[in-house]
Amino acid sequence: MTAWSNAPAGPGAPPLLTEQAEDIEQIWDAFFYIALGIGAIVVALLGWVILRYRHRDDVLPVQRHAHIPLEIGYTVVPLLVVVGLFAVTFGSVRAIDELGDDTDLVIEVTGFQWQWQFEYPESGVTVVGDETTDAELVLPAGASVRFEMTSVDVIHSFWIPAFRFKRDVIPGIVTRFEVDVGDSTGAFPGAGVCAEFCGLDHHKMGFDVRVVTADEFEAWAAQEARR
Amino acid sequence: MSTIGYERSSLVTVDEMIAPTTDAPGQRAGHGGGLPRTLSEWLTTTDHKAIGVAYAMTSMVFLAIGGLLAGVIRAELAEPGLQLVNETTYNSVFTIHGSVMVYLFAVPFGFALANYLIPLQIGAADLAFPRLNALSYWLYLFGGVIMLLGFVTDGGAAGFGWFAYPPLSGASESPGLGADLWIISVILTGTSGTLGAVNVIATVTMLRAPGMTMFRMPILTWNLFLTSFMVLLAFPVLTGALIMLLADRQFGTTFFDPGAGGTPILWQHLFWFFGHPEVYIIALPFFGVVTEIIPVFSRKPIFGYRGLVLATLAISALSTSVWAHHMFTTGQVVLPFFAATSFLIAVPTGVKVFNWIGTMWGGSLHFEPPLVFAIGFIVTFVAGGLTGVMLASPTLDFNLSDTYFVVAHLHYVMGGTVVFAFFAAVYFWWPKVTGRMLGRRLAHVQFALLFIGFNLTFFVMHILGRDGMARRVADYSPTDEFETLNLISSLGMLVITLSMIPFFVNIVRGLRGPRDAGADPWHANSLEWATSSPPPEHNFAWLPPIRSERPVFDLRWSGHDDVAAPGVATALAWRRDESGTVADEPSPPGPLDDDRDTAAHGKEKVVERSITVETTLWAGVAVYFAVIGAIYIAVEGDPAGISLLLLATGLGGLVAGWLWDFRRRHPEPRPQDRLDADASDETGVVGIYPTASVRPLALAAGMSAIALGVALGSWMTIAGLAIVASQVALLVRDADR
Repeated sequence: MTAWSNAPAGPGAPPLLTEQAEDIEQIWDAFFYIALGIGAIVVALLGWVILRYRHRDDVLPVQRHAHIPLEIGYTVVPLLVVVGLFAVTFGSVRAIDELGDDTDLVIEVTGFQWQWQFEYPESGVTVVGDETTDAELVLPAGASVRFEMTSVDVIHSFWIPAFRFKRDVIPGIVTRFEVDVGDSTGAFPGAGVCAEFCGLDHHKMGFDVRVVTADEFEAWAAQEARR
Repeated sequence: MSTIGYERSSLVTVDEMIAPTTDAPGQRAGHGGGLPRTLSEWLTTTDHKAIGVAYAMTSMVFLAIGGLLAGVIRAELAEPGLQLVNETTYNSVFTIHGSVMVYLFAVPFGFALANYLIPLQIGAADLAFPRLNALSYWLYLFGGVIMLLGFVTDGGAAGFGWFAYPPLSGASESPGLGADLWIISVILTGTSGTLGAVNVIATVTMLRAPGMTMFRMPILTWNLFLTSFMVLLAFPVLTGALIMLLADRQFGTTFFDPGAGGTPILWQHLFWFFGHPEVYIIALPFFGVVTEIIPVFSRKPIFGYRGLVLATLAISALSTSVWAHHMFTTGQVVLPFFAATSFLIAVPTGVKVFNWIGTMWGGSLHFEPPLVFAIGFIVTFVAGGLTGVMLASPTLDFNLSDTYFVVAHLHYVMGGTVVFAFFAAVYFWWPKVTGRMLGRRLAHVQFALLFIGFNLTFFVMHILGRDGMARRVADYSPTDEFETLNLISSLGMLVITLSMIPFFVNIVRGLRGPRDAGADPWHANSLEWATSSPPPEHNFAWLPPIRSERPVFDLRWSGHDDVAAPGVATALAWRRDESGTVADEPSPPGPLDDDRDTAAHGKEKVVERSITVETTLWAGVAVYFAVIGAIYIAVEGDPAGISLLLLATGLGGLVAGWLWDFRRRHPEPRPQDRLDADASDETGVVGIYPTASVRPLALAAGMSAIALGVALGSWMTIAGLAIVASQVALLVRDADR
C-alpha cells in the first residue's frame, strides 16, 4: 500500500533511509532480543511456580525468609545486564547525536501550526506546506545533511520514522542533528510526522520525503530556485 | 525448620482472641464499623478509616470517568476519519483522561491505602494529624471537581496534554477558562498530596505500637512511608511550576515565554522533576499491595524483606535523578548521566520481581482473587519494565519517544500494574472494610476478561509506535496501515469495559451478603487482621504481641513453637497470667526469656533503635549523592560532580551529628523501638483524637476559593481569604485554651 511495503526492516516497519537508522536498528535488535529473553525467563519462572506450588494439602511450607547469596545474585546479574546495555547505547549514541564539521547540505526546518517549511539556503530554495499539500523534503542520496530547526509558535517534533530519529523543534532555540542519507532512492509520502502534541491539527502536521540521486537533486534545486 | 502438616483447629484465631472485648465502649462494629452514617457525619469526620473509604470511593469514581474518556479515545481511533468527536474535544478528552488517571485516581488511591491501612498496620488509633488528613481529602475532592468543570466552560476542558508543555499551555495558545481550571485543580490536589505525605511520615515515625520496630513494619507501610518522602520532594516543585504557569497566563509574567526571555525547556525540567518521581509515587504503593498479598496466599513470609526495603529506598532515591530521560529528544540534556540513572533503576525493580517470585517459590498457593490479580500485576509490570529499559537508551528513545510505543509502555507500567494491583487491593481488603466477602468465581471471570482486554488494547500499541504512529493524534490516514492494529486495540478496550460487569455484580452482591467475613478471612499476616471487620472506632481493643513482621501469623501459630516467632508464646502466656487471679510477679516477656530467640539472632539484641533506621535513611541520601556524583564524574568526565560529593559529605556530617545528639538526649529507647515491648497495656490511647470537625471542610473551601479567584475574579479570592483567616483565628483561639 505505502511506498515502503517492501521495506527491509520487517513487516510494517518503515525502511531505513540513513546510515544512522541502520545502526539504530541494530541496537534495537539487541535490546529487543535481550528483553524478550529476560521476559521469557521471568514468565517461565512464574509459570513454573503457578503450576508446581499450587495449594494441595494443609501442610505449612518451609518458612524461608531470605537467601542472601541468591538475592545478591539477582541484584548483580541485572546490574551487569544494564551496564552492558549502557555500553551498547553509548557505543552508538555519539555517532547519532554529535555534529560533524563538514556536511554536504544544510536544511533549515521551521515548524509552525500545523505545517512545515524546509529551506535550502545554499540553493535558495524554500518549500512550505499548506492545508491542501504537505511540504516535501527532498534529500540527495549519499549526502551528509544537517538539519537546523526552530519553531515560530509551540513545540513541535521533527520525526521521520525511516530515520529512526526525531528531534524537538522548540521556539526560541535552534536544535540540530545530522544524518548520512543512504544510497537507495524513492518517494515516501507521509514519511514525516510531528511527534510533539502541538494543538488542534497536530495529527495533520505531516510531510513527504523523497530521496533522489545527487544529479537529480541539483536539477530539482535549480528548477525550484527559478520559481 | 521442616514443613509441618496442621489441623486447622490447632491454630489460634483472631476472632477467639478479640471476642471477649466486642462489648467494650467505643465499639461500634455491627453499626457500620465506625463509618459515618449521616451526611453531616461524613462532612465532618476525621476518622482515618472514613476518610480512607472516602478517598477510595472518590478515586474509583474518577477511575470510571477516566475509563469512559479512554473509551471515547479508542472509539474515535477504531477507524480512520473523525466520527465521534472533533479535534478540540478529542484533545480535551485525552488531556483529561491522562490527568484524571494520574492526578485523581492513581495517586489518591495510594492515599486511600495510606489512610485506611497505615494506622491499622502499625497498631495506631488514627493518623498523627486527623484534621489535616480531612483537609487533604477535601482539597483533593474540590480539585478533582474543578478539573471536570472545565468540560462545561466555553472552549471546553484543557486540551494540552497532562504535562501541559508551554507555549501550548500559555494564554495565547490555550485561552480558555478550562486551562486555568486544570492548573488550579492540579495545584489543589498537589497541595493535598503534600499535606498527606507530612501526615504519613509523622504517623509512621511516631505512632507505631510498642514492639513495632521499623523492620517489623509491613512492606506496604514501608512503601507508603518512602513514597511520602518522594511526594515531599516532588509535589511542591510541581505546585511552584504551576503557579509560575498560572502567573504567565494571568499576570503577564514570562517564565516560559520564548518571545520575552523565558524558556519552555525550564517547564519541562520542573515538570519532569515532579513527573518522574510521580511515576514511582503512583507505583510504589501498588508494589506494596502485591507485597502484602503474595505472602498471605503463598503461606510463606515475604522473601527478602530487607532486600525489598532496600530496593524501595533505591528506587525512591534514583527516581529523583532520572527526570530528563523524558527530554532526550529536546537535545538539551546530558544524555549519559540520565541514561545511566534510568538504566540503574531497572535493577531494584527487577529485584522486587524476583522477591515476589521467591515468595511464591515453594509455597502453597491459594488462587484467591487477590493473588490472581497480583500475578496479573507482575506480568504486566515485567512487560512495562522491559520496554522501560529500551526507552532508557537515548539511541532508541530518539525514535520511540512521543509515539504509541511510549503509550504502550506507560500503560503497562502505570495503567496495567496499577489497575491489576488496584483490584487485588479491593478484593483483599474488601472483607476488612465491609465485613463481607466478594465472590470468587465472578472475580476470576473479571480477571480473565481484564487480562485479555488489557493486552489486546495495549500490546499492539508497541507495534503501532514502531511503525510510525505518533501519540495524541485524533486521526490517522488510511494509507498509514494503522487500521488493523487500531481496530484490535479498540476491541480490546471493549473487552476491558465488559470486564467491569462481573466486578459491579460482585460489588452489589457483596454489599448484600451476610457480614460473616470475620477478623481474618484470608489467614493474613499484618495487624489490620487482628481487629474486627470492620474495625471499631480507634481500631484496636487488643493487640497481639509484635515479634516479627507477621504478628497475626505468629498469633495463629502461637501453639507451634517452631513456627511462630520467638517470644510470642511467652508473651501471650504472660498476659494470660496477668489477667488471671494468680498474678505472681510475672516476669516481663521478651526475647531474653527465650533461648531460641538469642540463638536466632546470634546475639542478645533487645533494641532495634528505629531512630537508627530513620537516620540510616538520611545517611543513605548522603551515600546516594556520593554515588550520583561519582557516576556524573565517570560518564561525563566533568569535575563538577565533585560538588555532589561535597554535598554528600556535608549531609553525612549532619546526619552523624544529629544521631549523636539524639542518642545523648534520649538514652532510653522508645517502646516502638524495643524488640521485646509488649502491646497489651499500651492501648489506652482511645479518645485523645477529635472524631469530628467542620474546620477541614471550611479550610479546603477557602483555599479552593483563593485559587479559583485567580481565574474567576478577585471577589472569590477575597472570600476565600476571609474563610481561611477565620479558620486560622479559631485555631489560634483554641490553641490559647
